[in-house]
Amino acid sequence: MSWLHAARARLRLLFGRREAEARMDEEFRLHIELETEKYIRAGLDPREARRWALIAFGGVEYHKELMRDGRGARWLEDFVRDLRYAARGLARTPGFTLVAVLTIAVGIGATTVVYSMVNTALLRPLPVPSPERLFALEELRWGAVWQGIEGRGVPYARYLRYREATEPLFTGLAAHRLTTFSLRMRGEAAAVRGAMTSGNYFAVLGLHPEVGSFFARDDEPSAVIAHHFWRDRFGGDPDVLGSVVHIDGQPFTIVGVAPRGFTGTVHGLPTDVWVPVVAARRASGLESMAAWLALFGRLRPGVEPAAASAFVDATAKRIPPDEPQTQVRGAVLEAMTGMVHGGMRDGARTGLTTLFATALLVLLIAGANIAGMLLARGVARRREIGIRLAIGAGRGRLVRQLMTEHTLLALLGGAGGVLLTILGARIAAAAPLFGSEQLALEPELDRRVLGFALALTVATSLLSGLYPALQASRPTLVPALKDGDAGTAGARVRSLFVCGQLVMAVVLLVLAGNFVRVFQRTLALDLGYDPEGIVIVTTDLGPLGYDATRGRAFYERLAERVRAIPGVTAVALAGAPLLGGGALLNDVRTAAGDEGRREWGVPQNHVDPAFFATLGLPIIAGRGFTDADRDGAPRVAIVNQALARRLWPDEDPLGKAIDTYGGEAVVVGLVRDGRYSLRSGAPGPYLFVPFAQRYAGHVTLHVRHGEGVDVGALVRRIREEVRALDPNVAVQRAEPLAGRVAQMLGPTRFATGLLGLFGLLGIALAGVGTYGVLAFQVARRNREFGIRIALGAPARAVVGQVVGRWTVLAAFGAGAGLVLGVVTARLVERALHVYGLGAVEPATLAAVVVLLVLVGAAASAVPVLRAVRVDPVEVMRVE
Amino acid sequence: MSPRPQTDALRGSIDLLILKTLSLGPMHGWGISQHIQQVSEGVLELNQGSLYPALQRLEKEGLITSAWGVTENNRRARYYEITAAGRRVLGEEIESWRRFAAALELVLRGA
Repeated sequence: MSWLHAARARLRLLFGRREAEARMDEEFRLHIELETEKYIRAGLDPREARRWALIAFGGVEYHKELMRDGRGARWLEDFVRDLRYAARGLARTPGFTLVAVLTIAVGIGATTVVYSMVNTALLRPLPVPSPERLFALEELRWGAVWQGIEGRGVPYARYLRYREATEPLFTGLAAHRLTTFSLRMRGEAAAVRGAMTSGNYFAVLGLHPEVGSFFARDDEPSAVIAHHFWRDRFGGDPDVLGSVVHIDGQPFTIVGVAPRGFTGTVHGLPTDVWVPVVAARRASGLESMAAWLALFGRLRPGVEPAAASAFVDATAKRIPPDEPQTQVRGAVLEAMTGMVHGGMRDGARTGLTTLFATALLVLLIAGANIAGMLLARGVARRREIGIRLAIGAGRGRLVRQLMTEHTLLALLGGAGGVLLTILGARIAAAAPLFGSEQLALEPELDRRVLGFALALTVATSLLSGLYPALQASRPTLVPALKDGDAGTAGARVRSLFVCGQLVMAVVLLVLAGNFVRVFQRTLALDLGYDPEGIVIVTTDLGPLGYDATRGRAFYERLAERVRAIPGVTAVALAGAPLLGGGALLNDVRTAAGDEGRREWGVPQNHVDPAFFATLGLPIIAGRGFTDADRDGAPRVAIVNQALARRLWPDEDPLGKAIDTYGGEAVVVGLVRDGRYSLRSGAPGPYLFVPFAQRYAGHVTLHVRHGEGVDVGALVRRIREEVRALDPNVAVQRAEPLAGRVAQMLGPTRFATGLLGLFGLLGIALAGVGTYGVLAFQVARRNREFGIRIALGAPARAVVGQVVGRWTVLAAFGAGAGLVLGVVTARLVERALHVYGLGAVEPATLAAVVVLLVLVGAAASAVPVLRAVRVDPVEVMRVE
Repeated sequence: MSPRPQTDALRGSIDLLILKTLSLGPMHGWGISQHIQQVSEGVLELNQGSLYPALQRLEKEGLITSAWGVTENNRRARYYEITAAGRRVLGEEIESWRRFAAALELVLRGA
């Protein structure tokens, strides 16, 4: 056990500084006493004896120093001493410390909040074992294509072929599809977020149930519920296992609860219930596109992703296409990251990247600010540092000490930043990031985020603290001691820092201003119809096994019942709401064979005769739909102005034939353009067909009500009517149409708000920096100003002395910032074209300039006043 | 950095002397210095204070340990004791010293 003893001795030597010092003192004292006594015994008188003992011993302090070095704890002791010194120094200047800490906190907080969002949405791996071995299989095809948030889909039969063919690659190939289920337990059916999956879904993910078991086959009538669903709906009651619920009208037995923390394979889209796909689609059939599934598998150990991807591509080409029109070009493997797929991913990625870049800009401004403040502080402490250098402190030692102080400052700021992040994350948690789909993302403060904050802190301390520390410790002894002041080199660098800050702040402001303008434009968009006073209610009969006749009858009866509710003035049925998609996209051709014009991907909505009047969409020419436009009657259609212009540029569209999904139809009416999405720009083409000539289970009721009607009560009444007709039908969405507009603007509003906040923070920081430099200059040149005033200089001249050079610098910084801002805005526009960002408007630039002038005036007011009011007598007396 | 006045040889010989002294039994610092002086009959006149950095170094290397004890006059003193590792090192050091001394002797005799 001697090694243990030795180790303990070493530890004691290292860390027991106080103990070691005491022991050293005691040993030396005893030694000298004993030696003295020896000499006394030999006959010397005590004083002489002690003298000889001390000579024999040698220099006490010298030996002590040797032992202190020998302890090897020098740097640690120095560090502790430096830390104490730094803390005292910071406490002595509370104003400086507070401003500096707040500045750093704002910079780090802003960046970390956005990073936590990026982390949650983009970086965090799926909460399953070895998520890096999971790959999505994406088939590339022409013709019938289904692309969802979870990936690209294939029909179930095709999934089975893939499952068999990729046996050598994957431990298992699973299939899944996010959907909305209508879940009925007792009484009313509720819409829940569900997933239809293959039986091996959980096995491929490598999960174990929290309670109970998972289903294992594709066709068993079993359901697995999410932990949060179990907790919120069932109070975490284990007896829920074995109970039967009706999902889309079919009975399912709850067999298990998914592990806590697992909410599905897409971040931000938590799944409540998982159900085997074959059982889930028993009523509606596996052939419909509503049953198409996205695929993913877990690679077997040793299988390389690249090789697997090539294999999968070859497999895809070998499996014959499911429909003659469909062409399969191959397939690829993509890492399962938990990110949303498709266009939303790019939107989220570019959106978050832009936010992140702007947050970094705020941090850079803050860092420049801190550097400027530290430089000024170094000049103010020149005398102190000069003295320390004069009595022999090494420059390295001094730099280390100053850096300790700067690091302490950064750490305090970093801690403040984490606090701000915690606050900000709460706000960001409610932020809609991905468009109209409401994704519930909870930015978490995990280890990664905290590590990021710490890294930022260290970087801030190094980048903004090192130069000031080197500058302050420059050995220019004589002038420092002679006079508390020194040359102007430092002042020039500080001015450059402020100038750089201004450039960045202006860039931020231009970007933010542009976003605000775009947002205002979007708000002011004329929808072309009146969203006020309309409630939309969406239900889906598709999975419940209704055919077209029964489905139409259901909706007609529902419309009748809702129309009878007091306060309701009109009810219209449509396949999808006008705003925010949901309508099928189809090609529309003039029915003139191959020579005719063709328009790709036109939204096609089937609406009843009441629709146009209910929404206030005027028919410009021809007629609207009537009750006569029934199944079996000649097929008719109504086009909007945009579609008419594209298909028949110079002709009257009325009476023309078109060929589209569902066959040929005759155009009987022309309707005014409306807004079908919130992107600015011209409205796109849109096609309406009669509700009675087309059927889909998915229908949206548009209910117009009178003023003063309680919308909540109205929605409740409508839900009751739905339940009275069929208790298995869940209302998927019921909300005011105007609210939907606000909801769809959510991401833009959030991004705009955050950017605006960053812009204001940036300019505020730049203002503080400006103030600092000016105030410092005035304080330093106090005596000079006093003399000037005493000699009769007018106030104007003094003011010129203070702000003259600064104004030139600021103008230069602002100009550079404006140019850079316009360029950056163009880059952002290219990256984020989805938001409909345009070029920066002159009005935005003008607003930025006005704001700059205001901030500049505010920042320089106090220093200028102070300079003008310098009392010459007072200044002379100081010397 | 502080200057290091002792050459390696001298420092090494101090270590050797301390270890040899402690191999006879636990002893405090002053005792060690007296013992070295007596045994060498005053030839090795050593700066007594330099004993302590050496003691600290040896303790750090695990060759000796120390603990508080009481002298015959009832005074608190730090007693040093050689460890097993210390004894092993002492044996090796003595061996190599002897070889060195013998070699030196041979050279001197030949001259």
